[in-house]
Amino acid sequence: MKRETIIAIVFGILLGAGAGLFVLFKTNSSEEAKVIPIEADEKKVVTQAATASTSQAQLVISEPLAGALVKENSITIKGKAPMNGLIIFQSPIAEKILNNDKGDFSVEVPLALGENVIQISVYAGSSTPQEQILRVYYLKEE
Amino acid sequence: MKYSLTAITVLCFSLVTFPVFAQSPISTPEGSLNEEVDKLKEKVAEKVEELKKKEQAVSGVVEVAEGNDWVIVDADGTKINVSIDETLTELFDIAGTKTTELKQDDIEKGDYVFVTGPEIGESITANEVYRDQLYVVFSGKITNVTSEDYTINVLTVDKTNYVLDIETKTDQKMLNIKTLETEKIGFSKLKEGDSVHVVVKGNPENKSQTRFTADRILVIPNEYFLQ
Repeated sequence: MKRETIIAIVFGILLGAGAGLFVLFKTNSSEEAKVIPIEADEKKVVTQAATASTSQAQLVISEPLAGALVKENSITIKGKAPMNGLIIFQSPIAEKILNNDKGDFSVEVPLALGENVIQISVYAGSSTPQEQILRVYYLKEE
Repeated sequence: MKYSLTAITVLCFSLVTFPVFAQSPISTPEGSLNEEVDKLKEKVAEKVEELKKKEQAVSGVVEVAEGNDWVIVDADGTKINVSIDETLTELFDIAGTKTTELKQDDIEKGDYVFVTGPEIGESITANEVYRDQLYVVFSGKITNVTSEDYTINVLTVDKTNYVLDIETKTDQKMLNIKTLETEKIGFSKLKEGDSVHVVVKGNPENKSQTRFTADRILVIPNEYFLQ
């Protein structure tokens, strides 16, 4: 076999192998690009869960939104509060008392026509409560 | 020699794999349009439902009620611009469980109102304006009980000292620390050191007022915190 032929064969093999490796790596990198956002989302979810668990000691009202306008004469207040805290819901027409043994709470509070200023207070190991004021508006369905 | 060269070249190229991009099946233009319309309908329905849930109102004391551009001041002291439309905006008065219609001139500076309508920033285009009673709800500790004139002093967390007149119409309740139920009480049960949750009728024109007639009080005995 001539020297030039051997060089041509080796060159051909190297070129083929190079092209093969290029295609292989390019495919892998595009697959990785698809995976990255999913991993990022998972991390985000984990971070949110961690934030929620650390803030569990605080009074958080998740429902209703402040200033909510409703057509029914009662409303369910949902949220989180320190475990085993005493929660007082005080409105101009009623008061509700709840021993928060689960951490999450859900209480139905009656509403008067018009504006309802509801104070939510939580006593947790202290006579100084955590407090939030919620304003909810009830108007009859016409 | 020629054959072996050709065979090696073919072998080299057979090792290289090229990705194949398959074309997705083509749907008919009509079917695709219907799908898009359905998706759009669903999105609109979801948005309407979301907006219904988010329907809100804002309240405050009327500072300016001249012409069609009003200004109200909310509980945090924020000024809110209210646009009144003479033909579209409806005005009402709330008294107990009834609403009565009002004219634009009936609402004056110093009235407490809440407004419904689309809100952008600190401006609201009023669909409806309701004149209502302002209630103030707060809590604190009883620092003094004066049986001569049936008053109590309540000190709040922000160090405001309120004087409350306890009248026969005042709804007075106390927490039973064993059952965690509320019980009706009389003035004689009120004592210094207990925590109290109070509802009073506010005075929109005098925000610094600290003496009120109590509408409702709920007492949490200090013994609850010593358990």
